[in-house]
Amino acid sequence: MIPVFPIIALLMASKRTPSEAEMGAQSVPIELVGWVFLYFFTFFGLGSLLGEMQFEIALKWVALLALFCAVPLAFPWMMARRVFVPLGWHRAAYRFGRLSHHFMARDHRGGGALAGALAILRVRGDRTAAIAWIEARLAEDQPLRGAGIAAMGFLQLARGDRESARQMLAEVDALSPYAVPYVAAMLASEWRAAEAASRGDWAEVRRAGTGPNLAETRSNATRFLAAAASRLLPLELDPRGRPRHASKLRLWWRWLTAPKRFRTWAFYQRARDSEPIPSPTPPRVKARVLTLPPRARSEGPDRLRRALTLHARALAEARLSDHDLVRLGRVWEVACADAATVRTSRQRFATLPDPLHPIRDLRSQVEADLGHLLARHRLRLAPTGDDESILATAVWHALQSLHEEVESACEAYCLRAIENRRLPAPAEWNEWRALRELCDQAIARLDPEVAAATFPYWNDAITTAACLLYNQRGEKALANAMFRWLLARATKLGCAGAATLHAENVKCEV
Amino acid sequence: MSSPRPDFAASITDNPFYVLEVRPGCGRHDFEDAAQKWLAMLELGLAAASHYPTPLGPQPRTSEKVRWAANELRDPQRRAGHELWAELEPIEPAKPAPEPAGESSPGPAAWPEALRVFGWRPA
Repeated sequence: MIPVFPIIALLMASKRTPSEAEMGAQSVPIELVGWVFLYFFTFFGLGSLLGEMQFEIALKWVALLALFCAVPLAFPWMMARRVFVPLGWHRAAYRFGRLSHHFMARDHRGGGALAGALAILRVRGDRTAAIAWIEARLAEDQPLRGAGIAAMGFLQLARGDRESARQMLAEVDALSPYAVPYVAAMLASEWRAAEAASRGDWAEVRRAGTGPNLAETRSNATRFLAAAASRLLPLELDPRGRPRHASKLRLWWRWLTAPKRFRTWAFYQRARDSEPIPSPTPPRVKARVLTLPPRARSEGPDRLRRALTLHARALAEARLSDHDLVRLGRVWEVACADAATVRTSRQRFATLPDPLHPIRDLRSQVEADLGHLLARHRLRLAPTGDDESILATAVWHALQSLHEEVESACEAYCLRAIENRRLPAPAEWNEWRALRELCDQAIARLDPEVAAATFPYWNDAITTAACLLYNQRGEKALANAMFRWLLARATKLGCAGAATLHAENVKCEV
Repeated sequence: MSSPRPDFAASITDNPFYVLEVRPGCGRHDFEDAAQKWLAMLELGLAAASHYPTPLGPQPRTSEKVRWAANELRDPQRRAGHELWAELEPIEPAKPAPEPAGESSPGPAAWPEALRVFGWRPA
């Protein structure tokens, strides 16, 4: 009998790359051991059954024992996912998930943590100790890769923090596909799609259903949900002018290949009967305008009071638009320059050395308040065209404050990398995510030209940090994610030099 | 002495005229008497003294804040700055109008069972 299983296993083992060994892969894949056991069991078992070999009773017991060991060792991920996860045994799920070379070749320890996190989700009652145990395993995991990121997302879910879980699981798609075991990408996208469908966020369902290596990284359930979402959303055309929604036949196929067909039947019918309608014009939302209360309007031409009323109203508002701030700035401009206001100030504060000082003081306070409002409501910091106006000064102060905030965050991040101050792997990832979100928010608020002029400063600091993470600490997945983000932003802002550099950087081995 | 809460919008919320519930143009005796009155009431723990009205809603009043407010009004230069901000009557502004609805129709309904159907337990 030809030993087929051991030969296959040996061939697989010989294909292991040095980077896989760095990722915590076993020196001999455990599946190899399992398959050897399985081979001998099959050999002896069949031989005994067919009567070609006559064994003692004891040897039959050995064959049974071999089977008992062979199945879990030959299929460790299946054991973790189908046995220990439903039982909620997080430690066993972690240990078996970690053993799988076939499914988690790119991230063994992350794979274990992923199985452990999924097991915790099945536990009812207090999960704190179990979460802490898996987190401790993850903290040992240097560097963190795709399965580890997905595990962090599911741990956030186990804590009940669905928003953080959503953000963390979306990170999996931001990584290089080479850093993510496809099972991790599949589980993360499936949860994202199902969760978005439960909220009615069909655009997010469609996003979750798209990604690199679609056939491998998206489960049949995710692909069914994405196809249904494409029919529920307004009609969109792809760059070639073809409709992006799934046809009825395609949807039927997706439903047929997805699990739980009986339970998804009603939803399938709903999506099938929904005809995507074109949306030629984007939905128009009426702009909100900060209005003066009627009482203040009836008080006559007292411009200072009018400005104060509008100011108080703006401070009390939960949401302000750019238009509101421009209006408030204009009202204050008129009030401070009004001849009646100046005359009143001269008369009222005649005993002071400078009777107009209170007006100037008021103006600088207003500028500060407007600067705070710009930051608080994350309004765009567009140049106003008049450098002397109250709003222009407020925008200038807000710009300075934003630049200082982002630059100091970038420098602190870079300095920590230079000084090689390490954080536990999840914290390291969270630091990058926070910095990236800060930069993205700043780019969204800045005028495109200002953003393009400012980006090189941030780019230098982040590139230095990413190179150090890659070269010195082997954080290849994280560094690659940073290079990918820098490439996308440099391209968007038209920074050709940075885009060329990062196009090369993202090609580095992950 | 600086404002006890020198934060955003403090020009209104921590305005000494609002803290002492006096109006701009009042005499020294007026705000000194008001300060004494509020200090005594706070000492007795009377609920009526615990908050003061401002255009941005009621704010908590403390003995420290009352002493600081009286001190601010004693200095003519600093008083002048506060006087302009206190021009508004200390009443709450009208509640912000509700968000206007967009003209677009509401999106397709959610599928709340999606997580459970595919084996994910809602957190």
